[in-house]
Amino acid sequence: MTDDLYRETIITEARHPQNYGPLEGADITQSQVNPSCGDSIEVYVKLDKEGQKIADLGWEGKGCVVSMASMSFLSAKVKGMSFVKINQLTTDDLKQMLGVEEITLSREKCMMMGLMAIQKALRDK
Amino acid sequence: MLGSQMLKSQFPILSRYINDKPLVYLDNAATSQKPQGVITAISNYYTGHNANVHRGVHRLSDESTAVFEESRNTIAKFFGADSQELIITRNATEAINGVAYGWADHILKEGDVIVTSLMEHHANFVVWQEVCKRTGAKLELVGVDENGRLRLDELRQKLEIFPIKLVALVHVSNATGTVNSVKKILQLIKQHQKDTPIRLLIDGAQSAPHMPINFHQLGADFYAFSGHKMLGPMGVGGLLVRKELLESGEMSPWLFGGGMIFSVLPAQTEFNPDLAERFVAGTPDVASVVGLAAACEYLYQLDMRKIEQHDRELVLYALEKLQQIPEIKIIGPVKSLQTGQQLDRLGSVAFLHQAVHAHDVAQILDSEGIAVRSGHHCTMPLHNYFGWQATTRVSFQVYTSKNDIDSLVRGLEKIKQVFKS
Repeated sequence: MTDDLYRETIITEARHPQNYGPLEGADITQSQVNPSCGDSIEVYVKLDKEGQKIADLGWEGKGCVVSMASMSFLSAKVKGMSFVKINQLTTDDLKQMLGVEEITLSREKCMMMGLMAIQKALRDK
Repeated sequence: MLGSQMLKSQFPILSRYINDKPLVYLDNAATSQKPQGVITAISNYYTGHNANVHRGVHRLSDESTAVFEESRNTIAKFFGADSQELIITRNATEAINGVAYGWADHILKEGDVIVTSLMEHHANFVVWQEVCKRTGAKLELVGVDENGRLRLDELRQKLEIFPIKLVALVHVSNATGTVNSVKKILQLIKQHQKDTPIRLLIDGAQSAPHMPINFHQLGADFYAFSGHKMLGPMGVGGLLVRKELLESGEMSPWLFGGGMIFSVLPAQTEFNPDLAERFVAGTPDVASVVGLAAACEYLYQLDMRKIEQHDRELVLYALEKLQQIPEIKIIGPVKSLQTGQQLDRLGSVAFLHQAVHAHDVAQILDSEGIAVRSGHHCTMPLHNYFGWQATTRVSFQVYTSKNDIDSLVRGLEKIKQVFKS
């Protein structure tokens, strides 16, 4: 499992994350903390004109390779995506995105932190 | 050093393989493994003696009561306490909560002050925040210096200024391994104590497994410990309370029901005058108490003084090896306060990896069969204060050997390969 999780692509993604940094003119800012380790992610979301899709997204965070790479991939994927589709994203979608077949329960929390932040942002908008 | 190889063979789980590698278990501060003797004692109780304790006339109940009382005696004796001074709890957390509900709630008044510190486990922190909400008392925090040592000068200042009723401090930090001097803390308390007594609670979750504890010599009013960190089963621990506080009623029961009563009338209830029974509400976990007694017996046979020496050697060895790795920064004390003095650190060595997050360190070590802990170790105030996102901790037990630490160092080499840093 570890070899799977620490492939070059994942490490590189975490080291050079996409859409990193605060987004000017964001409509929503939302943070998510993993209480078992204290890792955190902050997302900045700009909505499209109809208010049904994510037009743009930025994020910042402190965390392990898994949480950072997952959030990075996700930040690219959700741009232009409808809220309905985003709310339907699951653990399996994120595993597929990262290219891992299995993940332990504790690391699943790391992987899901970014998605939870985005989904929470959309709920609270 | 203890004969770790021989000891390892007495802990069945340590013969497991993880990811095709022999298990190297370095997460003992979270929980220790159990020797066969403890597992057998629990199994024997259920196989041969199980019945509810007290007030049963039949043979099994009598046997169960005898083995329960005998086990309580063994545990109390292990800590140099009278059997009556031992209140069985689920763990150290519940023991500290017991002081909150059975002592603080009816002793503390608005404006009274509780002192705790930045280096506490949440178990000795959140409990007091909650007591303050209920009683109107105030919480004061003693800080730590740059090496993670308790600021005794700050404790002194607070003792001078505030109307303090309780000082609640950790004995050995589960994050930095720092050993607090109970002797020095008590001296300061005694110097500043006026008419009203200042009670001292020591959180012994990480000291009980690693050093000899004599409750009477220690001088604290309350001492909390967890059985599962000292080779006993999960779900059992204890609170030691100085007898005087029990006899005067200053420490009163916080759980009510069967077993702890003397007489129950429609209008009022009288609690059991027998101190050993007054705090046992409902059926106790007899098998776990029996298991914990077996663990105490096992540690007693090994000799806690030798165990402490063994632990100190492991700490020094781990510090020496880990400090040779440039990416690693040790947290907590690495040098003794004065030359020639013993290093005031026990049980664990935690560190920051300059390039790799603690979870990733722990995950890669797991792939080598090495179990360590990563995160804030339930010490968020300390981690926030120093700005540590998460740390990796290796912690020791009687069966830990220098070879285990060598395996750890080899495991850390793999991180370099994976992250090419």
